[in-house]
Amino acid sequence: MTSKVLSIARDFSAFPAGRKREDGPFTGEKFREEVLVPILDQGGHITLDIDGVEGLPSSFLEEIFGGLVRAGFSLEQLRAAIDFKATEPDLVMYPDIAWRFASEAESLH
Amino acid sequence: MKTIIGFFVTPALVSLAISLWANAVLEARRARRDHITKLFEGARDDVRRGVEAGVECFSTKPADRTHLQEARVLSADREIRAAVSLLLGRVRSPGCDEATHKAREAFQSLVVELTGGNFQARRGVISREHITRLVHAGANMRTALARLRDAELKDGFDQDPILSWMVGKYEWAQKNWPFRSVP
Repeated sequence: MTSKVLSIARDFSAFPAGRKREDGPFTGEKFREEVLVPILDQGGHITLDIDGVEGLPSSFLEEIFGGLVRAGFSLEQLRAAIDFKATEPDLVMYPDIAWRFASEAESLH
Repeated sequence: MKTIIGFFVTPALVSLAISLWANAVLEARRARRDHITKLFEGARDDVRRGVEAGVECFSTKPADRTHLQEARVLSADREIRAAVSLLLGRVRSPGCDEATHKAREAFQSLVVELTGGNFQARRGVISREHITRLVHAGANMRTALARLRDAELKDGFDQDPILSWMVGKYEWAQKNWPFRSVP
């Protein structure tokens, strides 16, 4: 199983924003489809390092994690495949929020 | 030797030293209380500004939103995260556990609503439900911060040995005051 550490700020953008591709250059849909789905499809594991971003708008985060559940990945599968690294005090709440979005999406799915 | 000490250390001098020490201690405690109050009030103001910016932004159709509206929300989001995470990380008094837990929950809900929904989307409609959730999340956060501030100040007061001693003496004096009026 491949394991990868990905810094959102360094490898994607320090200013992620928006849901759909039409909303901007660094959106949740783009991150989900181009970064996460290929790894998850191969059964790999990824650690998302969120330190360094200026913020993760909830619409961006919901599009990633709610979107993964809506695309057919289960919450259990996501929890096994994705870890977070967040040490900056104003970013440490984002992993919980991400799992909250995935959980809410699963309860609606 | 005793005479020499007694010559310099007069009762007035002892009284002055005790008075200066007590004043310094009380002043330090007053400064701490004012500092805590200012931090919490600043965070509560940030929350209010954030909710106002969010309501203005989400009351506009996504296609018609301006960069200024979105920038105000992002700025508020950043300020709220910085201020509240500072406070939640700072408050460690055991008596504040429940208030801290509630403030954390309220904080998470506010962060979810402030930049959630169709924020930064180019298409979509105005969601009154989302605006309502945002307003309530902001109100809950402001309430949680006020409660946390009170818990922090009360806990600091309860754990302060000097203030506790003074309160104990005051209560003792109230009970044993010889000239109190008889009901």
